[in-house]
Amino acid sequence: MRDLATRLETEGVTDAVAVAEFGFASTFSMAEAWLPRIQSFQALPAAIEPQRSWWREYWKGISFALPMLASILSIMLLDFSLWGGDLSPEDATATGLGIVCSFLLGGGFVQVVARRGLFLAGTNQFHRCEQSTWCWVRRGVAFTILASLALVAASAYWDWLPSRISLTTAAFCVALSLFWMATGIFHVLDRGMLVTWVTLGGIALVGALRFGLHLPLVNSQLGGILVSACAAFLISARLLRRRCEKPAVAEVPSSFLRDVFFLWPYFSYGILYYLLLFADRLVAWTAHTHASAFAVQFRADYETALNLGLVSFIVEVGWVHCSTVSFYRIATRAQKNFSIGNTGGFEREMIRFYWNRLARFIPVAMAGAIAGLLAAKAGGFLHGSVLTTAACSLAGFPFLVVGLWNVSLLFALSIAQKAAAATAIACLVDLTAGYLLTRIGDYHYAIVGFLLGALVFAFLSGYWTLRAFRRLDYFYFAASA
Amino acid sequence: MTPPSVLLTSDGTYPCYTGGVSVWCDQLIRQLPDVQFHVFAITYSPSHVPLYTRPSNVASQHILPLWGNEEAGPQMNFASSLLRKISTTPQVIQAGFLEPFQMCLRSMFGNDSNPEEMAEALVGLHTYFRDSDFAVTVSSPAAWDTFLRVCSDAYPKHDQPTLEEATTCMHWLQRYFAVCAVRFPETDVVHASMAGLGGVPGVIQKRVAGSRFLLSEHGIYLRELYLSLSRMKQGIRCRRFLFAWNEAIARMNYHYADSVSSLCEFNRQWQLRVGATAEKIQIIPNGIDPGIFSPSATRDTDRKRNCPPTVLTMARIYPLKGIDHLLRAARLVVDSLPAVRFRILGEVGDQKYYLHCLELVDELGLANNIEWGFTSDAASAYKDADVFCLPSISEAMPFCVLEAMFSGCPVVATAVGGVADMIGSTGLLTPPRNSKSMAEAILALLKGDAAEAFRQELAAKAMARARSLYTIEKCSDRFRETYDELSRIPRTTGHLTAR
Repeated sequence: MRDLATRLETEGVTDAVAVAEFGFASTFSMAEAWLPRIQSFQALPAAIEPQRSWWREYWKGISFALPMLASILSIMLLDFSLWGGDLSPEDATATGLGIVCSFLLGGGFVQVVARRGLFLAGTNQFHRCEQSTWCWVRRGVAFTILASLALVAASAYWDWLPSRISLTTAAFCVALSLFWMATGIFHVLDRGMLVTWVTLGGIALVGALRFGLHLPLVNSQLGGILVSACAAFLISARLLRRRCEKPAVAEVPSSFLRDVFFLWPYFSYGILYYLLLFADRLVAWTAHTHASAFAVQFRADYETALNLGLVSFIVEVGWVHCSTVSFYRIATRAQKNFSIGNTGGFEREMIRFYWNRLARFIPVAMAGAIAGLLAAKAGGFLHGSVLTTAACSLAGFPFLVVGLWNVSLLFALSIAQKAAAATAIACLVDLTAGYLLTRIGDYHYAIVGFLLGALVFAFLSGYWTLRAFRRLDYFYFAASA
Repeated sequence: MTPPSVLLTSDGTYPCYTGGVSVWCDQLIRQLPDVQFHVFAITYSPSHVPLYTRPSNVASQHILPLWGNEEAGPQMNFASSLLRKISTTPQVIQAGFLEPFQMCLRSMFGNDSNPEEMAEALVGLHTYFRDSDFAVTVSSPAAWDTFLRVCSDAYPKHDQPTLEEATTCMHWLQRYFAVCAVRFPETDVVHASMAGLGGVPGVIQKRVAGSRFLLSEHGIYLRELYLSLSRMKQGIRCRRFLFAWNEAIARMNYHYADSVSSLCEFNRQWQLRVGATAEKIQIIPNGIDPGIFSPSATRDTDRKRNCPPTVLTMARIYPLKGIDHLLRAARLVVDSLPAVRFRILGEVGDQKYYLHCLELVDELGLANNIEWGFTSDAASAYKDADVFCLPSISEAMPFCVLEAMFSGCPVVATAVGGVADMIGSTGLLTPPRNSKSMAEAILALLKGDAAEAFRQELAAKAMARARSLYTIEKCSDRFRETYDELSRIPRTTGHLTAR
């Protein structure tokens, strides 16, 4: 009744007006008299929010992999890309190792920048998002430079690689780490397509340096990566600044230890995920053969076979984003439909949703495998050990994609430590199986390690996801706190 | 007598936001230099920084962001904080948290919430959070399950909240409980500038440390809440939950306050309706420094130089200020006086509403007549204006009206809250949301041969009234007397011994 009196007052019905125009003793007595009539009105139904079509979400999902696709196409059509291409075995080893090291050393920082940034941007704390982003980028750059120098020193001391190769590796590692971090900020800002444009710009610059100035390909690529990374940093700095709140805001002192405490699952997942992706390569590259001149040897045929799996991965990964968006939509809807007395119903509906989405992935996985096989046929790779490696890779990537979806659900429910644990165990299986098989047999057997690792990753993360779904009402509440 | 120490609490105002209550807090602290103040301020986000320089008599200033990702509870180093988290086990939560938490919920859901039961629960939570981690506790499965169970008991079977509503409401509670996790300084008096969450420290310190509790209300907390809740996007059960929580808190604050100050008779009537007792309430109007706000010697000379007539509005841009009604009135005024200029000065409090107003300006074809802005020199703005207009749909005792009265700027204002009491017959009053009558009042002061004489007559009357009733000294002297009276009352030991 008091709220009705308040509304009447703000409509100009003061006590004097209530007496003179409506014949009541006061605004309050008028509200009291009118309340039953007001209560009999039906509330308007809530507006239905428009949904984005599934193909838009699918496109957004695969847009993460578009730079990778651009690189593969560039290599196929032009013999070079922003990284990789028609290189000597030494340069291929240096760039290959540089790429892997950049992911392993910078991946944790990219993950932290992205997760923290997405959280802060999602809660409209853009100034803090900017602060946190640059703080972690600075830490990442410093760490990558120091770790790369340490690897160069270790290589020189233990004679792993000739100094030219180890220095090129370090240069690629640092330059690419900068590139991943800079482009990671675009994802925070929901401007994923910029990553593709920056990559294409970098490829064009590599072409200009190589064919215009006749620089060696490795030097052109280093120049291209560094310039694109700087451009990406400048653009993201501008975009971040533009989104910052207008008035002066508090500088929040960051505590490194506190950050580490809250962010370690994301940081370790960032490293472990890339380790899972590249562990088989490292195992294959370090397997001894008579042709190997160094402790680490790039395997071009193994890489080619893996690239087929990568083509399937690009097709399949769009499903992860679609399904995660669906999870939020269905969970939000189910939360509205189930009362607090029926939490079991809510959980059962969401578990049904989980299995339903997994079932829908089967045709996507088959489409991915067919795309990979078609790519193999077009490239004429369907023979010998390349075929076996490609087949294992095509079989492994769907499990990796399922694991990625589970991880995205675990992140959504703030159970990131389980995501990190599943990835760590999968890495262990991948490295152990791959190492044993390659030391007993051929280096191609490293792919079996990848396949087993991907299987473990999918099953363990799935197990923990389903366990969380059995208390989804609580986890959904705790994650959104 | 030793000057009293005072814990001044605010919610969404001083020192991180502009507006009437913030000005009042700042004035109060500066006018009583011998009183040692501690400030406890609730803000909406960690991004808000103090906008007022800290006077030397403010011994400490604690800012609690209600939203954002800061962890509530005492600031401590990482190792201690980690130990606290580890030691907050499910058993600790079970033993120390669940009982006061349930008591708080039951008290809130009861038909007529019992203020003493609510206070007991909040003090229980305050005691618990001294040693246990806030974030671990309020996000624990036990807290969630308890919340669902109590809600399930409180609502009838056919009208149970959905999981979404329960999640939203529990999130709100998590934030509100952050106030209970603060360690407040021990002072003679706790002075709350609002009857909502800002009053909780007053109740806790009264119960725990025997401090005296003074509650000052500018707007009526619950009344403003009714207005803001009506614009909320959340469903009816969520709004009911907020009503229940805030009514329980306000009722508790009124019950425990040793003295309640009100700005005007209109507010006093409301306070009586929402739970305050008549013998506790005293009316202390706001005050203005006449040294800062004084009439312009050149206003009339400027007018003769054919400067366009200026209508000034000083207000934060948000719906309760009724800026959209002013714009519609402006259209009618411009139809009669095409050269008139409307200056709307104030920070944007609601971006969506501001954008709506900008669209309205375009729609009404007023782009050449409306000036938006913000000034740090309010006194000059009043001196440059011919008429001051306040189109609010809800107010208590707005400072801007007093400032205009002191500056010799005739006032047109809506008859809301205590505005009519303030102005008396020295300005023109119009009903809220009535653009036509607002336009007529403005035109009465700007158009025609008699307008200038009418403005001068109203300005002179307003100035005389303001100087006799609303000076800053009068206001601060009343509060100083109240502080002294309250601190003379011997402190009783609370239900709990302060640590």
